[in-house]
Amino acid sequence: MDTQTAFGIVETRGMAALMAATDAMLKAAPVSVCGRHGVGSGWVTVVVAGAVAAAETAVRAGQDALAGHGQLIRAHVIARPEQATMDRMPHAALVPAQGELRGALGVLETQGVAPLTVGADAMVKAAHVKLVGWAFIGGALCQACVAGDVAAVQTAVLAGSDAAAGVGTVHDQLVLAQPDSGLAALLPPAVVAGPLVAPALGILETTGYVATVAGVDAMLKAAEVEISRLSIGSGGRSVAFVRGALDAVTAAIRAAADRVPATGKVDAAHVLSRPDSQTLACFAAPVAPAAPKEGESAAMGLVETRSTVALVKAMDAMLKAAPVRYEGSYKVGYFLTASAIRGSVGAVRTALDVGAAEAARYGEVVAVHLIPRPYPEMERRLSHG
Amino acid sequence: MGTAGGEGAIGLIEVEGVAGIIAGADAALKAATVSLVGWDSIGGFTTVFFAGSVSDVQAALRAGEAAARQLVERVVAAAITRPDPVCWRYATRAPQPDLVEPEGALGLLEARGYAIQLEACDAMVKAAAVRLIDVLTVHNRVVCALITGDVGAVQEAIAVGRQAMAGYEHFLCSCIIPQPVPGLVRGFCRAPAAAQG
Repeated sequence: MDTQTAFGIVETRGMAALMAATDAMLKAAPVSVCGRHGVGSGWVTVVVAGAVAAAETAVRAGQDALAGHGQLIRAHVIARPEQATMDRMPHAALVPAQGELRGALGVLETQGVAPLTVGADAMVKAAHVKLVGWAFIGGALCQACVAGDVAAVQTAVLAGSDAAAGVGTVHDQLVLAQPDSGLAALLPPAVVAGPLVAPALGILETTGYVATVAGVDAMLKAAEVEISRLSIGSGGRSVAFVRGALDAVTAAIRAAADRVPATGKVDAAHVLSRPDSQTLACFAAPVAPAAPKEGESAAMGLVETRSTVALVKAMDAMLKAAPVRYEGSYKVGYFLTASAIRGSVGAVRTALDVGAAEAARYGEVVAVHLIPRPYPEMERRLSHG
Repeated sequence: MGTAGGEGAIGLIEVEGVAGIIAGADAALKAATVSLVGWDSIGGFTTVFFAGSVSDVQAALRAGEAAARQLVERVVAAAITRPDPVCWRYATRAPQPDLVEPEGALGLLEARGYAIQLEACDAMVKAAAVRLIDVLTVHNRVVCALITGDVGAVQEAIAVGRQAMAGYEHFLCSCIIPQPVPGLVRGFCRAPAAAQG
């Protein structure tokens, strides 16, 4: 670090914007990425290091590259940063070169996982591109990246953006014909699963954890579908993927959409017919079910609040009010936090009544839900990947 | 951490951001015989847990809530008497054994966004004889820097940090704790990057 005497810093809302800025920075001057950090709500920062003039040139170029994205939070140059202090800041904790960049890079960024999945599927079907991976950025924003030759990536991103817009909100998109190799530090984690096959993929995305669990239970009971994974995201979102025959997945998603409104908000309930094997491997690779647990057929009670104080007060009240077992707590962002308990139907009902009343004294109660007879093994299949 | 499961009480204070509960925990631990158990964040709101006898927890809660209110508007405080063991497990977060508890004053500077915090931290350590202990990110964009040094240096540094944030619309709060209660920093911060390997 001796010869690097300045930091160039750019913070944006959204990862596509940050990638556009970072690529421009790396090409404009001899600087290198020395860290990144996300602080939630989609705000992400990149830090590059180089000589003072290089950092200044890079930051200017980064700002210019943002013109089409309009998501700049802050851009700044620190000359002669205090190195010992900067090494202790979170951006320096890890700079994984998360993959190799070959050819052009396409980025699709959406509000929510369901439009992203649909968009990514359209991208890999529209042109010969490789789905690099996807990641939550924060505040319900998420991105997927594809690689291939320029024309293919351009075609893919256009098709993906159109398809995603049919399901939800497209936040941003980006095509870099020749991305700088340093941009690998901003790529999502690579897909590890091999190609998968399924006739149809059902996607249920909700705000709040309880709504997704209620939906999963409804789906598993409504039709012969298999749950692939349940992802807890950011910005309050959780998402469940189910696989099966088209009829079954359609019936399952309809059942979930009917069930969920009592417990939360449905952001998307979508059936993707004939998903590409890359899409499945990237988004819906099944998580191996956990070992069987005692009492997994017992009734399940769920409480979700917007306050830890309210939730812990509810937990204490529930466990004291009736013979129930605590199962776990789940945070999905957007101030949402949930707890699950198990026991007999009567015990769980009593506990939920007491717990919800106690929680309401301290904060907002978002959902209270009783599943009298959870689908067998549901708990084990709710692999929180 | 003293009290075994099922006995005594747990006090909880919840605020937006993290500076409020650090200041709140400091005041709570000074006001009565309670120990810091842990803290938790759910995407912007953070909660501190401390434990002691029922009366100590009540006294600590009042002091902690008042101190937190100096920094943030919304404060939720509650006590759980004879908490269920599950609540104990939920509340407990082991303090960082590798972290050397700083001897001097503690300064907190909190804002939304990371870039501004980099600038402010750089300015603070250059302006006075202070050391950056940690930077805590608690989601919803909230980032809090913790610095230490003697009281005068921390005061000067925080003034410089606030100056660096002048005109920045996402500044949240700052706070100086001249004599932080022992164990406060170890309860909230990670070990320095170097010690983590």
